[in-house]
Amino acid sequence: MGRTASLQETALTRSVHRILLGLVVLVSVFLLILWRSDNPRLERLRLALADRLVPSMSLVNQPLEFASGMSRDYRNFFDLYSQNRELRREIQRLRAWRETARQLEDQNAQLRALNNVRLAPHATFVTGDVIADSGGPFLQSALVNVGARDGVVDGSAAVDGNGLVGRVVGVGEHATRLLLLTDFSSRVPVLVQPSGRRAILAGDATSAPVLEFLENPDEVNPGDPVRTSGDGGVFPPDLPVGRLIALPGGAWRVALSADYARLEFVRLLRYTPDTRIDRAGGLILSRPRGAEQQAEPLAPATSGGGG
Amino acid sequence: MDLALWFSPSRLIRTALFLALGLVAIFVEAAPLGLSADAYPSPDILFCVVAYWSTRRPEAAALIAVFALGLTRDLMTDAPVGAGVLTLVFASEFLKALGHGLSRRSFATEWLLLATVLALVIMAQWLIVLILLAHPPYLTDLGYQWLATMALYPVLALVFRWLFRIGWRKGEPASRSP
Repeated sequence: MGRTASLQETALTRSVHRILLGLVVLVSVFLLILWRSDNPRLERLRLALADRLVPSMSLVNQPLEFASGMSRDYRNFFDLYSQNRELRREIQRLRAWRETARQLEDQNAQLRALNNVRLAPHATFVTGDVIADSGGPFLQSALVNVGARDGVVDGSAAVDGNGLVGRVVGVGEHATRLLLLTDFSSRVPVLVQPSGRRAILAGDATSAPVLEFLENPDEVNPGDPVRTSGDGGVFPPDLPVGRLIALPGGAWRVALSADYARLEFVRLLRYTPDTRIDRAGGLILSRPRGAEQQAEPLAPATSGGGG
Repeated sequence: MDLALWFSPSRLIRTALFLALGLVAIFVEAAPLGLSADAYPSPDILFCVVAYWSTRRPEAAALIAVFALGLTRDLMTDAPVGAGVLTLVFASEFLKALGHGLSRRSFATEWLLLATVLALVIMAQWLIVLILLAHPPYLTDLGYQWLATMALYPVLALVFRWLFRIGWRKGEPASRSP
């Protein structure tokens, strides 16, 4: 091997390297533009990748979750006695409530039968396991291991046992991406309960999102329950969101009911809004018949005889 | 080009090991341990892996491999897609260019150098998001991420050194200088 040959070789390697670096910069800038313009192609790319990686992710997740669960249980172990006593007391209280609830249920059923009520929302749900979160500080989102195959629809609401968690922003075949309520770009129309005041819940990467555009702030009090209003037709109305917190200076925030620290499973609601007339001739030419028929067998049994 | 050397089995195995470790780093970063907004952001484990390989085994941490890992991370953890991978590739190239010269220095020097590089990487990402008029994250969160990553680096370096037996090569001529 001559000296000139090896010199040529290094020159060639260098120019190939330089071209590769240039390509990498070009592709990255192109991706950044796609990202900024919220291109749906990027979302599809994300979920195609997630579909591939979901099975192998659980291999890494399970030991990690096991370890974190163990440390949590270890801490719980110490206040077992007091917790037990508290739970017994709560059971006593709840037994009384159960009787009341049964009576009310009977009464409710009778009244409904009298009224021939039609329960509006056709809501069914899929439950999934949270398999990934955005580790970094840039976005508050999560990946769930159910997808289009399980009937998840883009835009559905995600709830845990206690309240609203976020909404579906991307659906893959086996994976779904959720935007949490705490993200910068999350906006949800809500209702402050006893007074019925409407507002928008806006996330700002803190654990208690801000309440914006609250009408008549004089009529609400700290601690009031906040629920989704169903405006916009994306979320079903009346999902619990949290409770109101008053801040000095007249700002309002919401302490979320959903337990974000221990979020393992989420329920993705499939919600078909009730018949709506939003365009000329909408009453005559409603949505395609096929969609209605598909939704029918999934409707709750209590949907009565109306319609 | 000496293609036989480029695609030699040992080199492919080393690149595969690098890719596998990078993928595990991404999965650990993405594991759902803190979903609440107050949870501390997880350390940038992928940066540690890439930095260690770029200095010790630059031929295994090929440009394309680093790019693939960075892109996977950006897509999986919803970082601003493109910003993370661009900064990671440049950091890796810079460390490779320093290359063997670093092996004569102490670990503390290396650690300080990496801390500076990581700070620049994070600031560059923050600036890109700001320039694109998206909502940049809080600087305190980024600060926590920087601290956590730098605290983790010596631990990971020990693991790679003693578990995978990957350290500085002895007596290797500085191959970069012509």
